[in-house]
Amino acid sequence: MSMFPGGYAGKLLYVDLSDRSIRAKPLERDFALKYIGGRGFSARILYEELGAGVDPLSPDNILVFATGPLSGTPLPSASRLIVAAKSPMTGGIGDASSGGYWAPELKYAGFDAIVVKGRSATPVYLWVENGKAELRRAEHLWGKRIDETSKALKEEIGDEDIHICAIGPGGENLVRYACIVTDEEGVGGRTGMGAVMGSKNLKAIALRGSLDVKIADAKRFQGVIDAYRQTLEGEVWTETLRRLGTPNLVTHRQKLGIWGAKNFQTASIDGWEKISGEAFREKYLVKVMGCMGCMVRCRRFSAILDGSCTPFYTKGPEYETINALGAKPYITDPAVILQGHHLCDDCGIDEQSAGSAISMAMELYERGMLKKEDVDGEDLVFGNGEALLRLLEKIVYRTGFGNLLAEGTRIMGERLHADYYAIHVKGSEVDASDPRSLVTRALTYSVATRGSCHLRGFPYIDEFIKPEEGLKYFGTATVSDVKALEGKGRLVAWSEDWITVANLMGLCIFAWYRSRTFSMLIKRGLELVTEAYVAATGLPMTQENLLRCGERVYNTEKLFNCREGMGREADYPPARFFDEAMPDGAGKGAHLDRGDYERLLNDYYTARGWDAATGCPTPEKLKELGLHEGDR
Amino acid sequence: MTKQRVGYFEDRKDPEAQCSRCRLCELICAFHHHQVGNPRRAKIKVVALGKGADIPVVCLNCGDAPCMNVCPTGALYRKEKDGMVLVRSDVCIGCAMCVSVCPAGAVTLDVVEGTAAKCDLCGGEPQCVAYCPAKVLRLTDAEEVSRKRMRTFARSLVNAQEDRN
Amino acid sequence: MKRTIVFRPERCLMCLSCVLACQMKSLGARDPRDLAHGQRPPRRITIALIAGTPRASVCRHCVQAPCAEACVSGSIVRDEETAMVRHHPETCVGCGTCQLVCPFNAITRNDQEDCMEKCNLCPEDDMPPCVIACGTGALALGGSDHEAQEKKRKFAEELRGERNHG
Repeated sequence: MSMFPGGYAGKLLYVDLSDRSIRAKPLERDFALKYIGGRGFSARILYEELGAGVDPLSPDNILVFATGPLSGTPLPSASRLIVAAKSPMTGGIGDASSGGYWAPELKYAGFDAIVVKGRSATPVYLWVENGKAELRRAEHLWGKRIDETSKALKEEIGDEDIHICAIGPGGENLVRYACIVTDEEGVGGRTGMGAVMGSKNLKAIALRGSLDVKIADAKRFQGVIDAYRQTLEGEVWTETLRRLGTPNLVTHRQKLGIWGAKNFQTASIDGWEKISGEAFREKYLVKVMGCMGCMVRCRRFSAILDGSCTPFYTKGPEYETINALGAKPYITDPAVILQGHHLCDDCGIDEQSAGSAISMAMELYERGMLKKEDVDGEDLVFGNGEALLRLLEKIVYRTGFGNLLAEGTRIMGERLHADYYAIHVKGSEVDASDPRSLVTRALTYSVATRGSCHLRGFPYIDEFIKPEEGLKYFGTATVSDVKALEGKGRLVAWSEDWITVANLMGLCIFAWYRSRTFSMLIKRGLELVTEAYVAATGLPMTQENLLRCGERVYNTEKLFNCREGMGREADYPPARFFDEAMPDGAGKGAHLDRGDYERLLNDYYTARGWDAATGCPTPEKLKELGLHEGDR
Repeated sequence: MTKQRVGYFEDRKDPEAQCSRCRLCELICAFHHHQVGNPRRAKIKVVALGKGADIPVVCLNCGDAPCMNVCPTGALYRKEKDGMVLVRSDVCIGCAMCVSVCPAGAVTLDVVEGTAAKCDLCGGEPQCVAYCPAKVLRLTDAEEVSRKRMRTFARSLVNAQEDRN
Repeated sequence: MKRTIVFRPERCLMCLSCVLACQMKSLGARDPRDLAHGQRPPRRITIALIAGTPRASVCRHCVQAPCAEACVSGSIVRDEETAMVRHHPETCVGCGTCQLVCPFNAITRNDQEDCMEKCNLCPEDDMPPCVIACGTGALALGGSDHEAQEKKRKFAEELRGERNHG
């Protein structure tokens, strides 16, 4: 019986793969109120229970699957799962987020989170049902791709309605950026969580749950659902997402000239219309799909059935797919992009890092730093789609040149003496866009605790915030000027705490934290979320306190990184962004200015109350947040 | 009063006008009836068949309802002629005969209460219909649809005949 | 999922092999020819033709079992763990009230032992003898949801061609 009136299941499942022990620990009320859930639980557990200096692919690493207090409730878009561990890509805290149905199902199965430790001597999968869990043999599943794994598990357990997260051959082969795939669709993509799972010989976690997720105040909760629904009326962003999915951003990237195409050598793409959201919709879209309870429905379900290749269906593509397998390697054939995407998803490797690695290799090849014999005889020029597809498969199985590609751009840069061409922050490749024309984007990507991430913070607020709102929230009206620097450090810091709240609750950012007006972002992302939390859990919470939880979690992650020796020097964008100007597009000539960046970074640290020299939280800040370095 | 049920209407040519498997219908049904989050307690269920086929399955309100006919205690009943078949939970003994005979699998035993659970049209304003983001669920008159079907079928016969002539 | 015994009337030939197999188990007999002439073994399952359809008279293990409520000696108890209604002959006094209230005529009297008899799902066997004996698969082991999930899937498959089922 849960001690929580609602929301939380009240139990954490601890699994030690080394000695095969499984036990449920109660979720403490104070812990829940301090860290809320999701990324909060994982960050604190990793900081507390993992010492410094652990090899991320050793049995000592800890893999956490965390839901939020709103997961499993009927609130729209409370579908997100957080998977976290020490990252084999960055050596710091790593986490990946996935939509779909797995996180709610874990709640229905009676747990708020699963904490996996140790390493199994032989391949296993974890079966969790209604408060119970057991480890089962998985030798017969090892080697199977995601689709096959799901089919086999459903047959073995005798139920089509179970929910599964699994690794493919990518994770088994410890591809450094291998990912975890939920229900053959959603991908917890970045930071190499699949490699950690593979290093533990854990093939999959299968769930079935039929337990109630209680709601403390049902009437109040119904009010939140309806208020949320109302906020969607006339929301342009929602309409666009439903119509085109995240690929709608292709037009935006081309218009602003912020592609990181050809490994960030060009910001404009010839033939970009062929890989736009409209193009993919017209040619390959079967239907739009939604994660658990979602009213936005941004997921795509696509298929290639025209006989040009073996027919297949796949979730996606996303914008990042087009960025990673299209823009970066300069491929404008949408069929190639979709095939590459399907391969990455079915084999369980992060398409972003994979596409980046191949693009870096393409640049090195074109510059003569890699010869044909180094790259398995491929004519590895930009635009070579067939080479891309072949190399993706080689990455999965670590054969030939794929073995080096499987390490990611940072290690490629070290081994090939080509650091300059490795476009990453903390070891995680830069995605989303080229930030050279907007330094606040560069800051956002570079200070993100999990390595380059465009979703850790939300600087895009400066595209639509009104001057008076800027003054009120960030102390200066100039925050509404996209090009200005003043107040941006504070904006990024605040937005990081605010976005973190979504990751704590199990809510989808796209459904809750997107709007064309700043006031709506506050209304949905803070007011309604606080109301939802109180109505669901019956626990006391205010908007200020919630934002403070976001800040506390962010600081915990930073503490983790600082303990690993990642300080200020890790919070910088790649040298290319400073030293090379954008050659074309609307931002032609733009590059980051070192002085501007230093100033912005200092402003950011000041806003965060961190030591500007070390880039780490000060004792005063930690005390303020109820954190103490090294405390339990 | 006409016989009503919740029906699924999609347009295969429109990627946005098909069930997206968001399962908000399941969530809101269970919440409306039991005030919890638990799609397994919903009376409607989205069956995922793969290859983009997702079909919500819910009580068809059969004219000659096998569930009502087989019930040994009279727990399954209609309030009025042509009304939806309803459950009297206090009378139901949970024998699952109704579950066994329902051709659509639309009656189940509630996982918590153990008694028969089926769609009751939420008393007249089905919540699944109201909340479906794709708007593919509709409160419909079963007979109206079969009339439409008959007309479509008749038309197809005429076309076939014309092709032959 | 817990064990249930599923009956599919469309497959039933009314051969009553299930009845024979059940009775033989209760008597410990291996060969029907060993049965004494005139012996009336206790009946835990039978098949009757009702309005043209074969109906199995066998315990349904009701969630709110009338027999459990009616039992004066507390000998009939529903076990949630196994989802079955268990009859304990040791404490049964043979009053027959359960037989009166059972809607399925699933409980009978064992004259020899002077207590009642009903199906206990043969948990000690991998497969209940009635299921093994059934030649058409009319009797089969099922999951605890009484095949509702499978039926929904089949129904959805049928609709797949049509898709609109308003």
